[in-house]
Amino acid sequence: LNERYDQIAKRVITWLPWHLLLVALAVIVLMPIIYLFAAGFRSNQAIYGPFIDTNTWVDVRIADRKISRISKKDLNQRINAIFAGYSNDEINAEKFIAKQEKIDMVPDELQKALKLWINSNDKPTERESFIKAVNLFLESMDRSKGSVISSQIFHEHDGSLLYEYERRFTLQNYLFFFSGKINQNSDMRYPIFRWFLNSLFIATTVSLVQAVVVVLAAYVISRFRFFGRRAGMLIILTLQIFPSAMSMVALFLLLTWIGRVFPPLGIDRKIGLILVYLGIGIPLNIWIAKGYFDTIPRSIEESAIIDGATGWQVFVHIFVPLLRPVIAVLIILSFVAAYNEFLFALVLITNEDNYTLPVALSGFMWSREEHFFGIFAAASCIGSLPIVVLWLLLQKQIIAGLTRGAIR
Amino acid sequence: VKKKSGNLLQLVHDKQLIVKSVVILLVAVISLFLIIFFVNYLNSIPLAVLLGVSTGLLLLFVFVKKTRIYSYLLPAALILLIFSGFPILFTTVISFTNFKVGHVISRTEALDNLLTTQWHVDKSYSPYYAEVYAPYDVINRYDTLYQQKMSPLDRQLDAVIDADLSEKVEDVIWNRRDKVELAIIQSTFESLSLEDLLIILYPEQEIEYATKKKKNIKVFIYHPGSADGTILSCKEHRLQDVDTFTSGMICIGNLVYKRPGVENFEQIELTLLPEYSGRLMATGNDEYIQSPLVLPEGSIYRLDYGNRFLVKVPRYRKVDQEGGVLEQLVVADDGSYKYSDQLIFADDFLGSYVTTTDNKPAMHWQEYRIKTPEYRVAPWFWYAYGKSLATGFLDMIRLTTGLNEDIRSCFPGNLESMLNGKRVDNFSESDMKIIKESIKKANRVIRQFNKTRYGRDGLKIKFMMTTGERGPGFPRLGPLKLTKIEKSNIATNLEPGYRVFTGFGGYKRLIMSRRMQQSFVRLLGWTLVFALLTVLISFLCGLGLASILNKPGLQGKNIYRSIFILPYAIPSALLVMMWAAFLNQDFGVINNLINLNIPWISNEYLSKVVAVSINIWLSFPYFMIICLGALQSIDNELYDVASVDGATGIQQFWRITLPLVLRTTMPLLIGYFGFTFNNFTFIYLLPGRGTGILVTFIYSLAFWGKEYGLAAALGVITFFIIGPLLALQFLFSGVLKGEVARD
Repeated sequence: LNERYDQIAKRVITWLPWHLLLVALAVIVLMPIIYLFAAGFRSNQAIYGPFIDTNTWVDVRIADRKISRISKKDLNQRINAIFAGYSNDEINAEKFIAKQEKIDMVPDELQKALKLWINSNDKPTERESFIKAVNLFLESMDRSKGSVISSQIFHEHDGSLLYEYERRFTLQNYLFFFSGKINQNSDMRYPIFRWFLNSLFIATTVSLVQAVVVVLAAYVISRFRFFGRRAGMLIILTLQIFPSAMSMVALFLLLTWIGRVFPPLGIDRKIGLILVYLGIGIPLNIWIAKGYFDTIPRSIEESAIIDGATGWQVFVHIFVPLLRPVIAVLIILSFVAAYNEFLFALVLITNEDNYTLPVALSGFMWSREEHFFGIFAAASCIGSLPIVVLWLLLQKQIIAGLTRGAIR
Repeated sequence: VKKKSGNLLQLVHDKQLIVKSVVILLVAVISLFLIIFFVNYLNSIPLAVLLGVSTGLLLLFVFVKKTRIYSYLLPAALILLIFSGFPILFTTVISFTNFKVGHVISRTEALDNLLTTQWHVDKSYSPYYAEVYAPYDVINRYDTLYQQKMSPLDRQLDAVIDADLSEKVEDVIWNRRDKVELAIIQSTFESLSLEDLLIILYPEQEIEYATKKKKNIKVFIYHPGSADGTILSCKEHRLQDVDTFTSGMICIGNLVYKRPGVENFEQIELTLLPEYSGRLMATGNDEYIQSPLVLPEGSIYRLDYGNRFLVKVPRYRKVDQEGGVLEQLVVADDGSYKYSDQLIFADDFLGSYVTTTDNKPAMHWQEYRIKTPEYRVAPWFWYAYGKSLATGFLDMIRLTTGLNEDIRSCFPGNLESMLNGKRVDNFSESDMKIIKESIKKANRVIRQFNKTRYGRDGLKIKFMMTTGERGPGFPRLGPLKLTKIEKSNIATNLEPGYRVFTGFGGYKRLIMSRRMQQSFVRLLGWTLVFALLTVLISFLCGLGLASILNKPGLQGKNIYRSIFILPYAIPSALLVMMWAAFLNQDFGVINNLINLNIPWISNEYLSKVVAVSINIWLSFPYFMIICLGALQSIDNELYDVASVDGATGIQQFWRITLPLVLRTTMPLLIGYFGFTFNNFTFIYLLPGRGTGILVTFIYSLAFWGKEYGLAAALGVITFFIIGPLLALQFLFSGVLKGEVARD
């Protein structure tokens, strides 16, 4: 028994440092991603926030926090009531009933500012500074009028705090991903789910069409010798060496012109973008597919040809079943590539409805990141889900595809 | 039995043949229809030709057994040709042009545009409002058509509005409704000839007054000319007589002068009938210029917009048929105008029509200039405030010590007048000698000035230097230089310009032009550094991680691998946006965590460090993956042999692991270098100060500056930088080796 313990101890001693190192590295690497994930569940939209939100206000006098939760709207009403002349006691005793009528007592500017603040998603620190500012304003008003409004809003008679922030977990950001409405009151809608579907549609179409086209071409290039084969291969090679980003101007102009005569293929259309992606992806994928074709021994098809099968029959009945894993790799790789592509989606699509998710999010977040970070976090979590799932499920195939092009 | 089976085969073969020919027939018919559609309705011959050729090739490949193989290649070849090959060729072509905003159309189009679309309104003539009358039966035709086609659409629209569907659905129906309406209007007036119309012209200034006061004014009743533009009749009448002319007719468009008993038909504006308005409007080609309204006193009126007629004069007039010399209208303050004989508009053959300062054709030449000395600042003296302080101070010192006079005294006579207006070719050798020698002399003075630390006031400066922010980097005066500057006699460039081949002009601008060159060289350097650092450091990180994960006996390898892959697996655009948010100076996580206000992405130097490190964070998993693959393929016996020979772990790493891993991953490293070199997504979404790379520069040139030609030229240059490297990748990966050798 001692021996077994010795062995275990030995193993622990040899491997524990490595595991500790790896875990530490993993935590460092994953920290930002975990933070992003957590931000998706915060109702606070600030970039910097605790892992769990502190947005709601709680009446600290009530022990049960669930009951004591007070919405910003109620808080606003309370402020209005105080300005209308109700005392804290009256409000607490619920003598003040929220009425729809407008209370004129509150100076317009202050009311506007209060409303803005209450509907905002500011950082806690900013809220506190705002409270301070409001307090200063109110105190000066008190001094001139001899009233005691300022102490009433945020404090009890004895000066203790009335409300404090409460930690909260929310699914609002994920709901937004599907509904597209930032808050209930505003009419603005962001078709964020549609952008997600666009991305999926484009990536799926590209990957399927590309697989068919590439396998057909690679089959012929690998198995037959015909006039122009070598020249064709060299052309494919040159096309691949030319970085696609360099021809963005030409593609933009080309699609603009095509779009003028035949709109479905033009700029701002998904089909145009799909064709461009095909043009970019085909050269590399032909090499990958051709590499696989070359590994299949010729004897298999030769026997079939002796049996009287035509080229097409050989292709469909012999190669396609044999190549199923390869085709899967091609599909996955081009799906991932098309889903992640940014430049051409940015250049070639101008209508908001046709955006792909990354482009749309970048536009949506443009200089607004500090206001909508929770939403962005939720959207990018859902948006990266298809790819991450593919990666984690089919790691081996993808890695094989990524490296097979070069390592053989 | 044998015979029977043979027949069966034959039968099967026949059936296949029948199916095949039916399919082919269908394909041919469909493509024929499409071709006709393209040519007739879309007016696109290139598209039709492409379709025809590809269908023809497909049919050829299927029918002729020998060429059947090519049909497999056809889809890939077509897509590659149009969306990969053509753009590359096209990029190269437009990189040799001045294609940019304002230089989009061709030369003749630009000239046409100048001659026919720019007009001057002659305000000395009173404008006229027009009522256009058409026969009743036209309107009856319109009514019946409207009833037939529009009422269903209107009903549909009502239903949609009632159902309160989204605005988009409504918009679609509205758009269709507008289109149908326009089509009805056009088809209604198709059979109408110009003679059937009647136009009544009311003087704009008088009609309002006259209708109020019930006063009579004179109006013109105008019977437009026949199709060839001749005028039938145009006579003056009194306002009260107008109604007698319009009996049996109906006014289309708005009634200018509301009176009882006259019907009007507001839906149809004259501008909706391009056939008619085109003849009257001041647009179009030369042939229309003669046809507009000519009043008896001889003034020519043209339609301006709606139903307003004005006297207009073309702003430019062609004088010289061959050289394309134009004359411009000159308008005096009192409203009178004439075609100038002073200003000449000429083609500068560089992309625009220009006015010249000296009535001669456009010319370009070079002149000498002596560049005033500039302040040279030591590299560490980059602090902007200190720099401006120092240069300001130095300016003062130059004045007080009389350095400027000293420099001037080195030159014989007036420096400016010596060089001004004299072309480079006109300088004789002796002149050049004198100039060069005096420059040498002046530079000696400047050197002296620098040496003595700015002359008599050196101590004072020293004092300034110690109180000012930095001492050692105080600027010194640079030498005088003789430079050539470009001159021309061009006064203004006229809009629009045209597209023209400029040869290597764009490339010259990028590489030779001083401002562009600086930014280009800096961009290229930074791009190379960015890509190289990213690839090297991520490769090392990946290799280190991979060699830990590759240790035999380590548990949970797969879990670790899956975790470390995440930064690479998640779409990089989203992660980069995340980092951009985290690094925000005021609201970002990082600054809030460490409670400092560090300008991560707005500082020129910090932003570069940040860009490289985040790119490493994004890309090390890729290198981990490929290194894992490479490490697994190394034969363990090599290590056994090495340890028997007494090699240490470090030696084993340098001698065995690294070379073997490098050999297999080199192509991928180069490939990734190319990818990072062109990583638009990363830089665009993490827009730090000074982190722009070549691709983002191309993007901003093309889509913000609209300098398509220049952007294309930069693309071509970039290709020549990165292309050979990527070609090298293929040599390494051995794609060609197997192939070309086998042939």
